[in-house]
Amino acid sequence: MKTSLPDFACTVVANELVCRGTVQPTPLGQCYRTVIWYVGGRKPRVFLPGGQIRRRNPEEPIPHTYSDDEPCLFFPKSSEWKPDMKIAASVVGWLILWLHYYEIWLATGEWLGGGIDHGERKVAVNEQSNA
Amino acid sequence: MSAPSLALQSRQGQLDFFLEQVCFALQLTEAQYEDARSKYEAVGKWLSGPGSPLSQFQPVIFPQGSMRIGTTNRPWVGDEFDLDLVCRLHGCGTAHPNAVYEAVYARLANNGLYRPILEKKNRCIRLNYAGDFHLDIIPACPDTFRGEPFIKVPDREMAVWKTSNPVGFAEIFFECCKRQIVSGTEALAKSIQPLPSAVPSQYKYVLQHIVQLMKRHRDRFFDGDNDAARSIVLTTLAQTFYRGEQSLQDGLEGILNGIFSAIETCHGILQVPNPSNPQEKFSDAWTSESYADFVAYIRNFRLQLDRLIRANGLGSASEALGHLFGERVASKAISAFGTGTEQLRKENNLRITKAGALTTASSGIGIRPNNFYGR
Repeated sequence: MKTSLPDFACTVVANELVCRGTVQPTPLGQCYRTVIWYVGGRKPRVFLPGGQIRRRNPEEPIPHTYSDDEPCLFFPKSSEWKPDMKIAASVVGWLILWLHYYEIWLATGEWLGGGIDHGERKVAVNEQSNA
Repeated sequence: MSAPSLALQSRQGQLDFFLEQVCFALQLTEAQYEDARSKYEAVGKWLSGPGSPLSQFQPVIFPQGSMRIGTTNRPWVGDEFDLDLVCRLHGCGTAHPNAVYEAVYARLANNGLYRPILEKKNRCIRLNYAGDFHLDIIPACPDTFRGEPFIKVPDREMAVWKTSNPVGFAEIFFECCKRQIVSGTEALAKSIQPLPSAVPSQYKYVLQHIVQLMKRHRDRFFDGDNDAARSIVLTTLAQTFYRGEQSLQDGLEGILNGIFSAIETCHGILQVPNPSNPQEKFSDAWTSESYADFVAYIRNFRLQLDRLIRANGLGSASEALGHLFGERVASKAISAFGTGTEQLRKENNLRITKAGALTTASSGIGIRPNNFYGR
């Protein structure tokens, strides 16, 4: 992680890894403070603290999120995430992508990054690239 | 053409991508273009073809204005788009201007399709088609005093000839574009010169795009006001201050700064001579009120462009683009960026930099395939 993303500050206590860093998906995009939390044996979680992301209107949740500060970056029931993967190439890459599509959604109302809605069981949009 | 991969490299690259996408959205649809082309050709045939009393004057039909120089935009809400067609007759230079006007009018009125939609204007005869299109036919004679390509156009109300040079104007404009002429636009038919091909937006010159952007912000700013700055004035000012920049943002900024400082340093109303006929001043048509409106338009344009350049986040970029050119085209431009990057992602060409940004550079860190999940 230190070599891949030198600006991220990571601490490891027992089997818990916490990384904090700033990302900016595109040159005109916003900068976002991010927190990655990984406990060995569980799925990694990513947070965007402090109300950095917002809804377009109160009734419309932000697409592909668990809550208004936690995006859902991968399909947990598939093997998209494996414990032997590098955090930078997986979780951080997915987060930057997610933020990029979030900004486009915020501007246009369209989610263009594909994905699977809750309840869907089939890997649809990126099936090919996962094969 | 600005690609999404270039847009990821710098703020300017991304702004250029958005501005170019706005131009894409402003381009006439293929159907609109084809409709205009077929009407243009039909009128040309009627005026110059066998059986036309005008045929003894060897009429030559050619387009002028925005369609000739490739800067036509889709019409603004409630507006029509038009095509200006010159019908140049030979051996008519000594005739009374109104007689030449009436001769062309009479030929058009002799056609059952055209008669009900004809309208006399001061310097042209208008065909008002159903829908959002009209064709302006400008009767003309060669200006033998000034020589080719100058023409004389009747001013009906004043009953005099006015000098015009639409061919020279277009030639100067394309010289200013500083690129080679797009192939296919120079082929000339004997009597009806073809309408320039519908050049796909991505092959247009930077200056053509800038003129389209200036016209669209004008439409948005004036919103149908008759005192709106004329397209020929904007085109002339754009080509005057264009320095050959290959970035839309740079070029537009340079032109607006140029116009702005010319406004600041001139005494009274800014003089805008017709580059193809310097004796004519386009600025003569300005009143103090309409000139003040033009200055306000330039000032607002510069202000809004600054907001776009300083945008922080695609949301604020979209908002600034919307203020400049309209929400619908702004949204299209931002969506095009999303679609473009998603395509790069599907092709496994999207990576991340060490600083935490998206890139297509091979030195970047590859991103594993994933599917966003959740509500």
